[in-house]
Amino acid sequence: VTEAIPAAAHESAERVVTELYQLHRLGLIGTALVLTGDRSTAEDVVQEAFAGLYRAMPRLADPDKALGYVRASVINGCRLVHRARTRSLRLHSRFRPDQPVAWSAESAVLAREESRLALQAVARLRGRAREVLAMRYLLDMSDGEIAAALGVSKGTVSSTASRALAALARTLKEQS
Amino acid sequence: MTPGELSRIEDTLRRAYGDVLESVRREGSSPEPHRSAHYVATTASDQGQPAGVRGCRPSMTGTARPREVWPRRMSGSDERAAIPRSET
Repeated sequence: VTEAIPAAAHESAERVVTELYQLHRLGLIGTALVLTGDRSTAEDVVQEAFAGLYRAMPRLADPDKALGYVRASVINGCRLVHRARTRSLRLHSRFRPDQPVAWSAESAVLAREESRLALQAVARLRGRAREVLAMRYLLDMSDGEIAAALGVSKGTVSSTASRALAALARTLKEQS
Repeated sequence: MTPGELSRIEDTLRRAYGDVLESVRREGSSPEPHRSAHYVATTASDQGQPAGVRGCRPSMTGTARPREVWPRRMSGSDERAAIPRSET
């Protein structure tokens, strides 16, 4: 029943994973940082996603899909973090739906006040909207790639992004 | 929203995300992917076993230990002493 994985396949998988990590880690950590609100959690989510990719490599029919796989894993990891935090905050009766669940002291490292306000406004959006904006404007993914990563249609991506941008514009206008 | 407003908000967002990436770059990050326990188990001399396959037991080599060994090994060790009494 046991299927031994050849050493050559291990080496090849390790090389692919390491190359992808070195090329894309900053963007993925940035995305996870925007979605989770703190740096160490973001790094953990990205590391877990790459460990998951390594495990999945022998089953991945098309190695070109590895980047899509790891991007989707990062988004899923951030959702799990967000869900666990929301549950924990509700449990301690401190959860206030009108406030972002998490955008911590990390924001203090951002040089521009304008950026800090924009990210706080993004943090108030719904989960799917935050994911779409981060993938579109931080990772520079096309609507088609985002749709594939989130398992939704291109139309859904487009309408989610446009509603999110409108909400963002309203929030920023109110703040100014 | 007018095209001008849309363009302005997109620019704001790109700058904000650019600042996030800059902060990530500034603080640095591990240049190599870390290896989780499973990652190591399937890359070392132990070839690992497919997860979730019925009848496949975890490896007995390396850090993995048979379940029944744990209580005896833990009971006399320092690891056990470090656990507060209230949690035992």
